[in-house]
Amino acid sequence: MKKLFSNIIILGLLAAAISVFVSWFFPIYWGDNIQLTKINHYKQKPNQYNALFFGGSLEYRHVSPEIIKSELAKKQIYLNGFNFGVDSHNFIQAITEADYVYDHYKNDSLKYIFVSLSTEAYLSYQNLHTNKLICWMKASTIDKLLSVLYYQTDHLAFRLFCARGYLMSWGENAFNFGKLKDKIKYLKIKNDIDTISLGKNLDGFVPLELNEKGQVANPETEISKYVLMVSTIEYKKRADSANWFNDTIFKTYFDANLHAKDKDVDYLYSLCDNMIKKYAAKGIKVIFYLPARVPFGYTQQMTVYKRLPEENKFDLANPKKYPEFYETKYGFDNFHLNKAGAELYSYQFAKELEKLIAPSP
Amino acid sequence: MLFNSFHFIFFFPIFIVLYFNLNHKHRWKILLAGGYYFYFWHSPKFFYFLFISTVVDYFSAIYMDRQTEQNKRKLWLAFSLICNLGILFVFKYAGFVNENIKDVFEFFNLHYPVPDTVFKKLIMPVGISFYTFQSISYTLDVYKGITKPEKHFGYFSSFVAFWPTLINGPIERANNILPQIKAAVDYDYNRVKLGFIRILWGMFKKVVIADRLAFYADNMYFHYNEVSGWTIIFGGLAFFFQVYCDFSGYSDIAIGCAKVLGINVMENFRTPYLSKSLPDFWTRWHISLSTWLTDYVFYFLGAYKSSTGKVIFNLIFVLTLCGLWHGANYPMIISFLGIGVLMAIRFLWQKKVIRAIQPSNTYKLYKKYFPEWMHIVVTLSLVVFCFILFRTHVMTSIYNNRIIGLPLDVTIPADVTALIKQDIPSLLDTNPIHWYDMALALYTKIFFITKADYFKEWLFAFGRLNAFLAISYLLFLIGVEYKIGKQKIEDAIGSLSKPIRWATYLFILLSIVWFGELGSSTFVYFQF
Repeated sequence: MKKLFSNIIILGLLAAAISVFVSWFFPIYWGDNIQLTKINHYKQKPNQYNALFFGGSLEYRHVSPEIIKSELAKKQIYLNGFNFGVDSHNFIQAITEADYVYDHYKNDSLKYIFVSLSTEAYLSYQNLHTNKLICWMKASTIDKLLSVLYYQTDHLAFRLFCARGYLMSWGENAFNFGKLKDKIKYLKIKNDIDTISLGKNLDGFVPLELNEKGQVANPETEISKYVLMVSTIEYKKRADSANWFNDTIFKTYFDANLHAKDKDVDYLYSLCDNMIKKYAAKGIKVIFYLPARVPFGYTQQMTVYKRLPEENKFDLANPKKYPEFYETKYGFDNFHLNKAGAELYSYQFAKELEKLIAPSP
Repeated sequence: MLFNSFHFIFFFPIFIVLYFNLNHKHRWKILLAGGYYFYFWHSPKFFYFLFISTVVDYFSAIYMDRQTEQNKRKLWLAFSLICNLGILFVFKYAGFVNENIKDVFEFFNLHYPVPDTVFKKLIMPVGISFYTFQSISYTLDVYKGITKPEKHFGYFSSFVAFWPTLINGPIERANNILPQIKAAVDYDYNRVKLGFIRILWGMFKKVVIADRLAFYADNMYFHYNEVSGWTIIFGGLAFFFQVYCDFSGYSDIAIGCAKVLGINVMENFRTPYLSKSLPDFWTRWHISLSTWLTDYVFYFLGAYKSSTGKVIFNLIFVLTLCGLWHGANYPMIISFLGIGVLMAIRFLWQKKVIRAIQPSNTYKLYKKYFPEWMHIVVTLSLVVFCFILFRTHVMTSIYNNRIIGLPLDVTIPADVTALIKQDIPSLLDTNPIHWYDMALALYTKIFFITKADYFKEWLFAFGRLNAFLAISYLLFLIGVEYKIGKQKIEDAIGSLSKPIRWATYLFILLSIVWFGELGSSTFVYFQF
């Protein structure tokens, strides 16, 4: 039986080696069309931007570089940013992407990198087996994700579930499990720029909004259009659900210190700290901020946030300071602001930023 | 448990190690435990039906054998048939029968007291048609004296619950499997290697070809209003090869698994697309079912040794029964009834025309102008024609639950569909169609072929690369199966020189890994 199993292992290793060799030629964003578009647009003229925003939908749908630019311009601060946010990206993906963009596209003008302290490392189950998630699963990303999961204090079964999902996704990416066809498709579109994902001002900001026909403006895919439609209709219909959601996240915001233990956040903090130091050496300031409406609450983010240096952080999540971000009037669904909300959010973003980077009088 | 699941990847090696490390006298225990585990994993609620079937047939056969009077033997046989077919009827056919009775009552404006919901709540146990037929064949064989009843309950249970064939066939016979379960089979590297080659080949057919062809076949049904004749013809062909690769792929995996364990299972398919006539097709497609129906029904009715009218009835009856076995719905029954009618027509043609002209020059001309390849084309065309109806039942149901404006191939999460139904019902179709609307539209267009306006969209609906892969891999499969002829695929690959053999392993494995539609679906025949 040894001969049989050794032959199967040899065959498996041969196939794995060929697969890994093939995957080597594909960039980290091959399966993420929004990211592909944003990178393709950015790499044309990277030097025109001196600020980059990284994160998930809480950045992609909420942070308008154009509004921030115009607000800061009133104070004689020049900040021309590009929003690299992509729906459902978590904090680990955001910092991986920041490193990738910096390493691959030289930008001498770059002064600020903004990273949102949003969802930690938990897996969005609906993204499992999707190209969008798989493409990011390289060894370096997996290392960070598993390390975060290792230090969490949540139920072991849940952490194992997330770890299994990430490892499977890594395997799917590294060995091209059912994905080579999609990777070949990527080769065909690798230089495409889909302006829908870049927004009206081509700055990477696309708010979620319903048009007069009840459809979502700029839906990237057919399915997301319907998911979002249902999401917002449910949100408007069920004010009690919105209130419950708000109560839950408010509790995590104000009680953060009571629940988070230091060891949970040591690793997350070290990632932020390393990033600040790495880019400071290159003359770039990394600024972390707490975004409003984080789906799983603020327990860990708040603890990490409190440990960060004052000059590298600001807070947009405080429900007492910014109650409007949690109002149904400005909400698209439980997790997202609508267009008016996003504009208000970007305006406040500029105000908070101004306090941090405005030259001393 | 699915053969194309991650779970199976862990189950099978562990099973092999345990199986071969156990004394052969005790192997039935691991086979039985494996069978129940395999079944329980997929259908935990229904494993007791498997147990009931086993107990009923075990005792029926033993008591039947003890009886000397034919009438008492018949009673035990009837008991076994009623129990087995009764369970099958309740789960598979009762809803269909109830619905038809209700329709008749409504036609005469009479009140019918049994609501549809009573039977709609019943979920059919997976593989029930397969293991029930396998179990029935045992009692019928004991009744006929072909097989001796198995006294050892463990051996018999492990035969009924033999996991490689348990939920999707081939429908095996006790006189083939039971002696092999009892036999002292040693671990043989070459045999096990051939088993694994067969498994790999089956997986290739399923995930690389069948699941890819499913895109095209489904797309043809979903756009039944827009498609033209040529699209339906190619869509029908895609569906035929999808079902062939799906089901024969499953059979290959089952045969390969059994081979690894040292048990030879009957072949279930033999290049059915190269059949020269419909009776020939009947001997090449789902062989385990066709031989079952031939042995226990067709011969029982008198087969071909009857009057012309009786033979025609026998053919049509057996094929209709075959359709009924596949599913309790009209499209399935009618498509097999259609094959039965065509077989009856062919029988008449052979008897009345061919035999009459055989010695003459007309026959020579017939042979000259209607060569073998034309027989193959005509047979395949007739089968595809009937098979188009086969899937309208399932496709109509998917079509009626679609969301307007959203492509039908997009999988919508169930909770989103439920919310859309609740919040935006205007997005749902308010005029559901019936299977016969879809069938009528498709068949009408075949007969009135117009400009193939939709053909290009259909072919490239899932991208040029997918179309290229589907066509290339299908041609590769046909080429290989044609080249090896009656030789088994594992023997053909196993006889290649080592470098070519390893290159072939790599090609198949990488095709599965790279281009397989992994984790996308169950097997089509699971629904039966």
